[in-house]
Order: sequence, then C-alpha cells, then structure tokens
Amino acid sequence: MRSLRSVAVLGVLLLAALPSSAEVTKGVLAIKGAQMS
Amino acid sequence: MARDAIARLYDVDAKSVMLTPLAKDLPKNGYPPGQIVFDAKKGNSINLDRMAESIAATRLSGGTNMGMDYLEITARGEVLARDKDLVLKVSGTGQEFVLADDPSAKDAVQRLRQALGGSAKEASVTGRVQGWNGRFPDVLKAWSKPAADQKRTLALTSFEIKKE
Repeated sequence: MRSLRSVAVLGVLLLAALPSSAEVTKGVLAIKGAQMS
Repeated sequence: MARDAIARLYDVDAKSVMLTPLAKDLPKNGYPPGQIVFDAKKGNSINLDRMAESIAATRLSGGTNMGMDYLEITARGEVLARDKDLVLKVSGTGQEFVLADDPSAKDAVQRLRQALGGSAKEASVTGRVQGWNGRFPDVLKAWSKPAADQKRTLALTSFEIKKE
C-alpha cells in the first residue's frame, strides 16, 4: 500500500511539471543551401 | 543537416519535418534555397534555444557559407502591453518576445494593440524571429550570446485573439 501511495504522489508531481498547453507550435526555416534530392 | 537537427528535438514531431527545395536549378553561388517546415508534438512547445543548440552541434556552426533567410514561428501565449512594447509571453518555456512590425504587415502591431483593448489576452501570433537571417555560424553565435540589453523580437505578420 505504501509503494502504491508513493507511485501516486510521483505521478501527481510529474503531471504538475508537464506544460499545460502547446506554446511555439509551428516553425518554417527558410534556408540557402538546401540539398536537392 | 538543419532538417535532421530540428527533427531530433524532443519537442518536435519528427514526422512533420519536411525540407522543400524552392529552386529547380542550382544557383550560381551553389546554395539552392529551401524551406524546412516543422510542428511541435501535441502538447509540447518548440524551444528556440534548444533548436539553435541542436543546429550548432552540426558543422553548420562553422566553416560553411550556408545560411538562412528567416525563421517564422507560430506561437500561442499571453500578449500584454509593457511600457511602449507589446510582449508575447510563451508560458512554460520562459521565452518572451517583443512584437514588432513586419514590412509585409505594417499595421499588425497596431491592430493587435487595439484588439487587446488595454488588457492582457491569450493569442496566437505568427511572425519572423529577428536575428535568424544570415550565415548559419553567425546567426547561431549571435543567438547563443545575445547582448545584455537585447530583446528577443518577433516581426508580427498575423495574429488571432483567443475567444473567451
């Protein structure tokens, strides 16, 4: 039971550390020197 | 190399990374233009500092004349007025951008300021990151060691206020 409680606490801490939503969601990098296939 | 460096990032959806050549013929300077498009993994945010580090870990950090024309990003965060500036706070990463006018959308900042109506609001903005143009080694070096008073600036091209 004690080990289950430890896992639950750890799970809550990990969830709290995760970002709640996406921020920089997309990027376009225009370059010179692209290799053409 | 830049495409692979971006695809390796933890926050990037590797399957979304696509390199598209923009010219059929090799230009005289030997550096054909292209675009690398990439998306964040769902629920993640792309950290530009880490992206610069990943690219800098390749030979693009030195001994090349390969360069970039621009980096355009779409970001969602809180936009607020601070002194004379409009600032985008990207929550979770600590990144913050001052929003500036882009030549292609000269009144975008003014329209955003009016839309905010004096209060901070959640918005999605698209714009070009200042400083990401020039030779790869020069851009990466300047990004990793910005001047003390230098602010990260985003030249705003479009925005959308989150509906409450």
